[in-house]
Parts: sequence; structure tokens; C-alpha cells
Amino acid sequence: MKNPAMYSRETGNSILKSRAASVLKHAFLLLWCSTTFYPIIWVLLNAFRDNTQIYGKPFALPNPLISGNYPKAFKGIHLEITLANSLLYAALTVVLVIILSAMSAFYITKMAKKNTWLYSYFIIGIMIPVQAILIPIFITMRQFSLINTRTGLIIIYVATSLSFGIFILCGFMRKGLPDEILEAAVIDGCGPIDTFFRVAMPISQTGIVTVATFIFLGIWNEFLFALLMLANPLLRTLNLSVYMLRGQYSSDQGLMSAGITILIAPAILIYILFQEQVVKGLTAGAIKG
Amino acid sequence: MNVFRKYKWGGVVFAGPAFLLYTYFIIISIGRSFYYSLNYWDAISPMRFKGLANYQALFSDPDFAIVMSNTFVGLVSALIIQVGMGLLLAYLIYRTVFGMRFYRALVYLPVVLAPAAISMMFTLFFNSDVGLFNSLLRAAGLGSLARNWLSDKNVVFYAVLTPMIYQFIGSYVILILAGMQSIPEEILESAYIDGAGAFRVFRSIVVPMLWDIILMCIIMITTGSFKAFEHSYIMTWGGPGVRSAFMGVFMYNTTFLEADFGGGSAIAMLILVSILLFTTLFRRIVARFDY
Repeated sequence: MKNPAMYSRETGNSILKSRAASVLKHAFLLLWCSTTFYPIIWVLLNAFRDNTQIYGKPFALPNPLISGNYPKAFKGIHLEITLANSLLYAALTVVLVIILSAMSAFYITKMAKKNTWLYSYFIIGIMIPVQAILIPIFITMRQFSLINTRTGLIIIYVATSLSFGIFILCGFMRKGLPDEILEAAVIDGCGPIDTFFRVAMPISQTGIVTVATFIFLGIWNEFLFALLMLANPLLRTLNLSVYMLRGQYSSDQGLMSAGITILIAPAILIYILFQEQVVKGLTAGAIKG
Repeated sequence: MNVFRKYKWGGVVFAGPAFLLYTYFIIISIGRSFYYSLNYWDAISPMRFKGLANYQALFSDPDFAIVMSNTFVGLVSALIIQVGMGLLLAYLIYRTVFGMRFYRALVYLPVVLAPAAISMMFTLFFNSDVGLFNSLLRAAGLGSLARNWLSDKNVVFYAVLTPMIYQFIGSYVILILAGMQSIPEEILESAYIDGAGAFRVFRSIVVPMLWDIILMCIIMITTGSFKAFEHSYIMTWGGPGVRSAFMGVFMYNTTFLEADFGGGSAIAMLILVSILLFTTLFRRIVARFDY
């Protein structure tokens, strides 16, 4: 992208003016970015301090460095179990949603081009607030004794993520999956199932990675259904167990800071690795063409 | 040409599983919520049909009036601040070449963090003894403004609203920025050649061309405000009383703490109806601006 500023007429006074404007612009952007970045640093530093230090010198570096917060936090949140739980819930949800929504998107965009109601029907789900379905889902889960089970939570996560997956993948398959390639596959003797797995899925990789990243982060950060469904500490997500840690140690700022950094570190890592996909997942629906 | 036309079973095999899951857990659930909202029910003893009594009870409940007013004040503040900051930051980043990706990455950072994590971070910041906010105030010589942010009933609402609005500004910056980048360069180029300044271009070209995106932001903010849960629940449980509660939290507490599943369902239906009403309303308003 070209810099729009280079089209402006830069002569004499206006050069000075545009320099000043540019400095102001960067100053403002840096100031805003420090509000998004500094709190994380502050929490990270506090994870190595104790209450006395945090209270005495709020903005100082750890001195002396307190190393006990992390071991205590690991133990308090049962890190090895809850981390594995969170990974399992997110990974299984991603796999199931990808398969189910890619198949539906394939059917909607390639097999049943003339009926559009199915697409609209699935897309309504994006607008539905979670509260409108919360109680019936809870009742259903209780009926089938799925409260406090991994299966129950994963079913909920899959059902509530389908709309988004179908929305993004339909958009992707309409543009990125040419009919000619599918026709060629059929002429070569592939049925719809073969065509889907051997041709459509590999070509849709980019769309699939976008959906996977977005849903993984969504489930990693999910709080409400985990709170509602999981009373057993050994089934809890990392998110929920850090929250529960607060019930016991709300006044221990260093320990809470350590817990928070454990929770946000994986999300930041995914963001660094898949930044493009995260941004695409957000903007895919908004930008036409 | 549709090469798959002859496979009549295609729909059942390909879309069937997703259709069943989605229909049962999402679409039918909405109907069930509506049915529950017409009953007295603690989810243990049998339901008693009472018509619209749950709705009547809500509208005469002073707590619900506070929750509604909190939700609307939250919605209006979020619309003004998030759309305003979204436009401003997006335009500044759009006009930046050096550092553009850096700014974009940092602006979006809070959005990828768990709302629960942001809420717990802000709980620490607003701590009256060791929190960042009171420390900053004291450092600036404004120690008299220091408050017990999360229990003082006059300020707690704003303390909870702050992270709710702050965390998601990045979403709207990214959406609006993507919209700006899709504006054809020739249009901006000719405006600059004609001598239009940055502000003029922003007001007369960029904003009018972005109405679709701005509408999308407005709809996302509206939906988000009515279903907001984590920040308020984690920071204060909506309290003291319902001072910092929004409709989403009020619904959860009514249902699962007071075991009033009928009343909770009624609030859930009001959340759904409000979202549909407001998004339709905003669509109309934006359509009027959109020449």
C-alpha cells in the first residue's frame, strides 16, 4: 500500500506542518499501544514480586526477585491437568467444527447451489446471544447426565461454533474453490466424498486454518459454559481454574499475576504465530470482494 | 453445470450432522427458552404455567431498571468510544507506512486475550491498596481521587465498563482499517492532488465509503453489550447489589443463583429481542446516511 501522505503537496510551510503532524500521529499511536502492552508487562513483573514490593513501589522492577509465585500458581491451578484439558477441548472442537462445517459449506456452495435458505439458516446463529440458548442447553445436558463431563462441554462448543465455521468456509469455497477443478475430479471418477476429501479440503487449506485459529482462541478463552458445566476441578479449563484461584488467594497480587500470565501466554503465542489468520477471521465477513 | 446433481443423498451426508446439532442446540433452544419464560420453574419441581407473569415481574423490579439503564449507558458509551477510537486509530495507522504492522499488532493484542484474564488484570489494577490506578493517581498528586473502585457504588459501574470497552477497541480498529485499505487508491489520490487535507479526505471520502463497515461494527457492539458477561461477573459479580450488572450477568444470577429459571429465560428473551430490535433500528439509521 502506498502512503497517502506522499500525494500531498509538500512545499515550504507544509513540510514543517506535515512533519509536526507525523510526530503527533506517532506519539498518539505509541501512547495507545502502551496502554495495550504495558499492563501485560506490569502483570508479568508483578508475578516476580510480593505484595510489599507492589504496594511500596508500584512501578519498580522486582527487587529482590520472588520466585515462589509460579510454583505456587502451578500447584493451585493443577497446571498439568487444566492445561491438558484446555488443549483437549480446543483441539477436539476445532477438528469437529472443521469437518462438520467444511462438509456443510461444500454442500451449500457446490452441491445445492440453488437453495440458499440453508446458508441463511446456519448464519442466523452468529447473531444469537448465548443467553438465549443457555438454559435449554443446561437442561439438556442435565437430562443426559452430561454435566461435569468432557463430552458435554465439547458438544456445546461444537454446536455453538458451527455458524461461524460455515460462514467463513462458504465465503472461502465460493471464491477459492473453482468449479472446473471439481468437475475435473468427477470426470476422473471421483464421487462427492472423494472430491471433498481429496480436492476440496486441500484447496481450502487457507480458509480452514483461519477458522481453526479463530475457534481455537475462542474456546481457549471461553468462560461461561465452562463455569456452568464443570464443577470437578480435574475437568476444569485453565481459564476457569485461574478464576477459581482468585477465590482462595484474591489478596495475593503476585500469585494472581503469575496465574494470569500463565493463562494469557498461550493466546499471545498463537497470536504471534497466526496473526494473519486471526485478523482474517475477523475481517473475512466484513469486507466484500 | 452442477456435477453433483445426481447425488440425492448429498444433503443428508454432508450437511445433515451439522444441521441436526445446530437445529437442536441453537434453534430449538430459542423456542424452549421462550416456553420456559412463560412458566414458574426452579428446574427441580414441575413447571407451573403463568403466562407473561415473569415479564410483568421484571418490569416492576427496581433492580431490573438499574440493569437496563446500565446496559443502555454501556451500549451508548461503547458505541461512541469504540467507533470513535476505531475510526481515529484506523485512520492514523492507515496513514502510516513505517510501523504500520507493528501498530496494528499491538492495537489488536487485548482482543486475543481471554476476557476473564483482562477482567482479573483490571481487578488488580482497581485494587484500592496496591492497584495501578490508585498508584498512578497518587504519583500524579491526585491521591484524593483514589477510590475503592470495585466496592464504591458510585464508581463501580465505570470501573467495570472500562475494561469492557477497552478490550475490544482493537476489533473495530482492524475492521475499519481493512475497510480503508479496500478503498480504491485512485479516489484518494485524486482528492490529494486536488489539494484536500487529511481531515477533509477522512470526513468527505473515507467515512462515507465505510458506512457498511461502521454498520457492522455497530451491530457487533450492540450484540456484545446485551450479552456481556465475563467482565462484570468476574470483577464484581454485578454488585454491590446490581450496580455493575448488565443484562447478561443479571440473567445468569437470576437463573443459577436464585434458581429462577422462568425469570432467567424471560431476561434471555429480552436480550434476544433487544438485539434484534436495535440492530434493525441501526440498519435503518445507517441506510438513511448511506447515499
